Amino acid sequence: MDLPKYEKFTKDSCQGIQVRGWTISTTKLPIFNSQEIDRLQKQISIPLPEMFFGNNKLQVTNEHGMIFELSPVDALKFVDATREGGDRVKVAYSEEWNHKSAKNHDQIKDVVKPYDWTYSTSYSGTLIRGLQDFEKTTDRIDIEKLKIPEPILFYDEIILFEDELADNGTALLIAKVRVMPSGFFILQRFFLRVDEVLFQLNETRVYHEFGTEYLLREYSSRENPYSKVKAQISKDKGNDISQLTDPDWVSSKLPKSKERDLILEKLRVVPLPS
Amino acid sequence: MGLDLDACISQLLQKQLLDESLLKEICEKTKELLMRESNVIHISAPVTVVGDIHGQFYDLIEIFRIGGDSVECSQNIRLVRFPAGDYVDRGLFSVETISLLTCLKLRYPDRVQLVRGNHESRAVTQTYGFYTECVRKYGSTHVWNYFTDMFDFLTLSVVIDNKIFCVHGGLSPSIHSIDQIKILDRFREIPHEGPMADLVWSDPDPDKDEFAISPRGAGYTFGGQVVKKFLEINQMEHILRAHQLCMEGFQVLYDDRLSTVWSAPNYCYRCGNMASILEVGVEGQRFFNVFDAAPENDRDGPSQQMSIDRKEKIQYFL
Repeated sequence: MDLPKYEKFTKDSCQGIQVRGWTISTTKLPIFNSQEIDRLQKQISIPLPEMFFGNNKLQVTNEHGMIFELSPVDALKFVDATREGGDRVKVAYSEEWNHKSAKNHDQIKDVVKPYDWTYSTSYSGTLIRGLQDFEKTTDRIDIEKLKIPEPILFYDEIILFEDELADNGTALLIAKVRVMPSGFFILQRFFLRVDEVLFQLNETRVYHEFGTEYLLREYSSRENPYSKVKAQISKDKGNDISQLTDPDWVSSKLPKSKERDLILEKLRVVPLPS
Repeated sequence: MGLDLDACISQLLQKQLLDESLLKEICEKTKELLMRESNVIHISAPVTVVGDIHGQFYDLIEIFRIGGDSVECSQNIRLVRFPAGDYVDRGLFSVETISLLTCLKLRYPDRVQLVRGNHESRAVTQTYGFYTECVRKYGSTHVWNYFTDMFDFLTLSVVIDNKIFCVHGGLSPSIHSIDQIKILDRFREIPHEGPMADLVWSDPDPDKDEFAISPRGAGYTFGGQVVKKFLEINQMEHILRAHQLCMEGFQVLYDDRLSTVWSAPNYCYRCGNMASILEVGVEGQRFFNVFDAAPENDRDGPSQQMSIDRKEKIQYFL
């Protein structure tokens, strides 16, 4: 395929590419400072993750005025802030801890307002402005096509947030984008490891093939008990559990999503012919 | 032949690893030294307090630079330094960092105090980087074993001029008086529960007065009244701790009764945060010396550590 005409740009902390009527860009800035945290904390009822990159974003716009974004602040709005959310997962030694600590708890009744402290989010992007809304579809992203080693015109990765869960694991939300001559592809991944408890991967894939009328979005959520994933570390690696910190490795060891558990959507990105 | 610590320190300052056998001897000797230390070490100002470093070796060297003493000329270490835990994990050079700090402790036992953080533990270092780094750099787990065995002997707290209480994490509902810390059996892996766990793990909650239980189902946060009461009972003025990342490199809470000092700039090579060390003067005055990531990180950081092969592969994610 011939290379389309394209232009890459960098402006302050934003970098991106313009190609075939589309602009795809990433913004990378430091974690929130204390003033920014205070301001956001007034709107969001849960404590922010310890590394919160609130000013980072991945943005896609086109010549017809569509704006689609991956935003850390919006991602937090999809974290369960209720008591049920707080009860979903407890750290591995919670029961033992409560039992042994009970003698102190005559005086301590206060539990920090429960919320899903794993920051598990079902966020799959924000359509800031669309010609229409996302609609259900049975069309799938053609992964085989994405395996063709086309030239990469633009690649970048942003982090939205990370929390070490007080040494009980990791909650990490990142997004990657690549732009090829034939189209662009985005993967946003929420990776959760709670030591001795579970793994979870919530993935959103967004794909647009240049020249087509739609952008496709697929969301999947998979999880498996910690022990089942750990058991798949090959024996010759012995004690080395560092693979459990690698989202790609863990992803390959989680059960595949069933078709009916996927959320498949499409979005019209060019105006309807009048 | 005896152990030539000055030679070890010079070698480490060049960021060259020490031999495994040498590290074994150094860790053994350090254990003997630490074993004699109390759970609460009393020192006097002037002191420089350092927070989490997390294997960011170049930033540790930067700390020596901005702290005003040169380790190259070892005679000139004039301040008592007190890094407050979490020396290892996450960064690229945990082995170099902890090797250098251990040698400095052994060479200048009264001028360098190393306090235990939650990452100075077998369990935590296995998932957050130090274990893997030891295996990668030495081809076996021996070095990790030497260091983690040594961690069991690190002290838990420091008191400066009977006025400032320093600990890695924070307070515990089982500890009212500092004398209660002195009688803890600290020579062990950090447990999940109890006062020793609380000291390295708990966090302040600026919106609370009392202790509260974390929504994770284990661990505490402590509020303003808890801090006030602790200081009154122990006739102290201030609590100094590390443990929590902050963009500005430090944070002061509860009407200046507690501060957090964080010493890993651009944490994990991507947070973009500032770092600080806290200089405590003879009159008890406190000054946060704020600094940015050392320039060496740009030419010997994660990007250089990754092979071109891997970089290309990453771009073809699915």
